[in-house]
Amino acid sequence: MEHKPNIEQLWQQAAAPAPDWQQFASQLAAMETKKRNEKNRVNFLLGVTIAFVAFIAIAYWPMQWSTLAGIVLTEASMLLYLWQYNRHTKVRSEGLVSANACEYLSYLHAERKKQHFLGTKLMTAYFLLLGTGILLYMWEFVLRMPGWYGWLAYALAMGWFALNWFVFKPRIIQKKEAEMNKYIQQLEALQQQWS
Amino acid sequence: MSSFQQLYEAYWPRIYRVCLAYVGDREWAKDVCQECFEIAWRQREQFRDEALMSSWIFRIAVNLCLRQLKREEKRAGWEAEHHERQQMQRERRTELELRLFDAIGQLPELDRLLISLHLEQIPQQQMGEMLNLSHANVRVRIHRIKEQLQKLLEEPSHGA
Repeated sequence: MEHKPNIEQLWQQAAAPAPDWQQFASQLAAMETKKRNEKNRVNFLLGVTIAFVAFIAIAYWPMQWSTLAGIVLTEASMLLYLWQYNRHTKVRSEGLVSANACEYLSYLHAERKKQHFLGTKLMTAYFLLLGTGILLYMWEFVLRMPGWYGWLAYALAMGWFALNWFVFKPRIIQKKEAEMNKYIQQLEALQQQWS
Repeated sequence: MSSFQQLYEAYWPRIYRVCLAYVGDREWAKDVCQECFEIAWRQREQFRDEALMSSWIFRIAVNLCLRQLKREEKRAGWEAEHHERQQMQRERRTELELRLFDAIGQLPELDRLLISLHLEQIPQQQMGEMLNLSHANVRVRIHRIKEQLQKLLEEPSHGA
């Protein structure tokens, strides 16, 4: 008589690597330290920059309103960035934990909307505030420059903004959105198996 | 950390098997399993009810598995059979065991998850909640999948 393979038994026998708690715990600790350090570094650097710009405004009270307006706008852009950075460094895994397979798809849709908002509206606000702030700030000093040096300073600054606006920003947004779209498309394709 | 350590040690092999059945590659399954416990660790404060621990951790694993398809394009997990067989010989896994995982790999993704959760003795009610299926649907599907697997395992081996 032929022996029938027992699926349950075979499954339980399947070799799984032994859990290594020590290794896992040290990986977790290293990961958390790395994340904390990065967050501290960004907060520290931007915090120092914000304080330094504020110090300039207080110690060398600008002669023109444009410089003061520039400082305010630049500070606002950096604060906006810092606020968003600290809000979004929390790892986005709530959907994985609380949702069932179909709710997870809705969660990803909501995430995509949020990501789109961050990549378009918020980034635009940041760029506009920072760009306008720097251009206004430069005005007082450009006026003191001889001849075409002032034009050159403005051309360089605007060139740098244009490069960020037209090249780097769309590339970053596109990359992030493409990744999210792929997850969503895959899950949507899988949904057919549910019916 | 000690209660989480208990959770990790108790569930690691079970989660690993579910991930392996889904992705079909041992290294990949290990990565998914690792990620599952990392997420569980980060979200551990949300989790209070010990009685639902199994459902909670398997739910994370299921959602993570569903997200793994992306790498399938690059690697075609279940087609890496030769590599698997070599690895099996090194790890002294049985031919029948490999055939079971091969057979599971031939199933559609949802069925892979259903059968592996069933084999991990997750109650059908919980499976239905995780996968958004009715209890009756889960029961019927599992019955059908088991028949299919049995048939595949009884076929003469073409391997090695």
